[in-house]
Amino acid sequence: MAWQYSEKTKQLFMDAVQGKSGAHVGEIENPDGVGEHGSVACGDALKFMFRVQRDASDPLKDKIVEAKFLTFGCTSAIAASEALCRIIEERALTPIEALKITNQDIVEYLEGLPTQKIHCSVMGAEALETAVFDWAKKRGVDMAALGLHQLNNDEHEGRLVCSCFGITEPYLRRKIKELNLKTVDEVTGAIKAGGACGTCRGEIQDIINEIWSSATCATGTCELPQETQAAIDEFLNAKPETNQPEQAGEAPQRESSFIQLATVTQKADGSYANGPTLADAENPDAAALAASRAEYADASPYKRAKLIEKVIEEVARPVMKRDGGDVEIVDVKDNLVYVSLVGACEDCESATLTLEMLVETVLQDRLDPNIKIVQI
Amino acid sequence: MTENWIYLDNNATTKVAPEVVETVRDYLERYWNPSSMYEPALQLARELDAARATVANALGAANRDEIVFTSCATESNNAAIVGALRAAIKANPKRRRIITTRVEHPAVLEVCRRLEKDGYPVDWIGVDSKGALDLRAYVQALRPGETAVVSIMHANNETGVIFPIEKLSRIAKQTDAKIAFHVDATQTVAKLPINLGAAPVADSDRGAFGYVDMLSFSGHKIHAPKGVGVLYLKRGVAFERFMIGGHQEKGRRAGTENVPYIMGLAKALELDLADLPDASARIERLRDRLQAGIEERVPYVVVNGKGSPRTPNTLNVAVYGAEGEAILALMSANGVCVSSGSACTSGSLEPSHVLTAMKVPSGALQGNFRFSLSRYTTESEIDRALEVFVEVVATIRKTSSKWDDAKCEPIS
Repeated sequence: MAWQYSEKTKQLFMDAVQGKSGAHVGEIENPDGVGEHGSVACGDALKFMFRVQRDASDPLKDKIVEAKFLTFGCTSAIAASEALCRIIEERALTPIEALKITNQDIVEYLEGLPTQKIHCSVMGAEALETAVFDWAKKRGVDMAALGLHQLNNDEHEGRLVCSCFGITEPYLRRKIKELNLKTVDEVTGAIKAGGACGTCRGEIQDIINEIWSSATCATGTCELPQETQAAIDEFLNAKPETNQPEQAGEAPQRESSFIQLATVTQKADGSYANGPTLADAENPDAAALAASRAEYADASPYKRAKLIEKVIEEVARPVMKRDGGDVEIVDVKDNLVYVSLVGACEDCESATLTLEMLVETVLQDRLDPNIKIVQI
Repeated sequence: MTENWIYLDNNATTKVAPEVVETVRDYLERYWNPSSMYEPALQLARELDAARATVANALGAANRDEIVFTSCATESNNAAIVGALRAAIKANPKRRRIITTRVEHPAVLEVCRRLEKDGYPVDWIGVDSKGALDLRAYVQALRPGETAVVSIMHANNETGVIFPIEKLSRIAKQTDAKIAFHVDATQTVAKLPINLGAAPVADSDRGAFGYVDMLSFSGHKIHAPKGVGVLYLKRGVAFERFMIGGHQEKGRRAGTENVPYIMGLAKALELDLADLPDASARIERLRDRLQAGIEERVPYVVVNGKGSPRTPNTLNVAVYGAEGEAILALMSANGVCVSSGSACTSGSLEPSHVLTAMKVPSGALQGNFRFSLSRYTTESEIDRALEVFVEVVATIRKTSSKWDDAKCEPIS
């Protein structure tokens, strides 16, 4: 899929990667605030940092004078990171003021982003928040006293809803409210949840329904009465876990008649001298032959597979081993015996054909004339 | 517009050969409907038939009637899988299983996913880290009397890894002759030998596709235009048509034939096959030169599918510490066209299903690139592309939070 980026996005990307003067790629030595967001597995990861001009008397009057970033990510992730740094520097904000920058500000600065790329701007806002709280810690600012709580703490805690992107339920709930997300596609565009295997899309829809149907105010940030929420939680937790993401496309479980052959036992000296010859294999005792055929005819599918294994093990395999080859049963279906044959010379087709005939002849004689060998 | 670009994305589409452009133009002017009953139309129908014979010959098909023209390989794949499955179920309701691989093109993958949702069991066969098919899982998945269709690509569009169709089709037919074996050969027609008439004496007879029942490919991967494809349907294969609403293509694909493009496709196939062995060897040398250059000059790079047989024109590499889409954007700014299967490049946010199935490490999964060459690719283009790639990877890594430029290694 090709993305149509705005000219501004392309320009910020090029400025950043080409290291134009005024671009913000890089690191600040001893930064006053650092925040990281994302991971390689998720497809993008941002490290954002800033330096402040310290106010001698009041840390709240610190001004951000420099911002920089390093981003593992696509064109829009790099452009969004560059945009974030520019917004902060252009506005000469204090860290607390910078907290007001939203992903929407970044999208506007970039003159728009494709819906599926909105998460790039969200990532910028998240890293900024972490960096500001880092600054507060270093400067001894009591954020709680200011009524500010780091919201993105919930990112790594709580029940996992989207396992592909590691997105937890508390984070999902907060983002749905914060970003006013009304559909699953909007959620996927903003924070990726539901964007890969898709098994959690139903669950995301349920959460969206729950959040917006319970909201009584227009902004949708009302909390449910505690008892109601507790009752819902209890119900949700009690629900049998039918929504466990399945492995996409996993083949259905089923029985298989796969047989693993034991390794052939060799003599102490490693040789197969005096072992059975091809002539022995082809001329067994007539009565024994009739008996083994009768046993095969009456056997269950499982027993038949065992008999096939036994004949190959006792008769065919030693002969082949003697000639430097080997045989392994891969599967048995009805009268079809799938074998992997290794000739003395692997590339020699005629040698393996001979071996195939040998195994087939032995099995047909001993067990059933309808047995066919399929070489894999 | 097409002048100064170095085009290394030939697995996506190809330059239309100038001779083909000429052919198409000629036939665009001859607007007759080949189903009509007046002389100019009848003449056109005879020429269409000759094109069908050309395609049949090129593939080694015994009869020209086995060639059905479609609109693209995606249509051919849809028609083959759904058509064979429907026919199989009609003959025997128990025969309703499908076998395919986890690394197919979406034109097969999504058809099978849809059928699976509709209640037809699908056995998905995986691959190893080199992209080779799990042969044991394949053998175990085959069920006499139950498997209706096997659909396996000849070579992978992302990595170029070749599957042993000769052997896989033989095993299927030996298991149950009524299993319909379909091959998506979009990436291999006119690149690798294919002979639908030849039963392999040995599995090593490359291209001996005598056990194959259905085969798909498209025009625009072989220097013909987009909008035309082929479905080979072996005589006697149970098939229910997909497109309905007309008697065209002997009732197997309704819709007025796209005569200019069909003629163009036949022309392109003739041109391709005329110098297949030479072109193939030359393209492979250029690919190997690019691969060696990248391996030598880009630290922390892996070649996906290395060690498996690959189509001569395809190179898939993954770099650590940098994301694919950003690199593509900068490559494009430098006039080089390649593609990437990173999550950010796709619409789905999910990285390439092919490389995921091959368990490419997550550190490199987002930074993969496909270079695909054609017979028009020159040595100087390859050398220039290598220079650009080396430079662009280094540039993007400098902006990356997951690359330590001082130590020249990825940060985990």
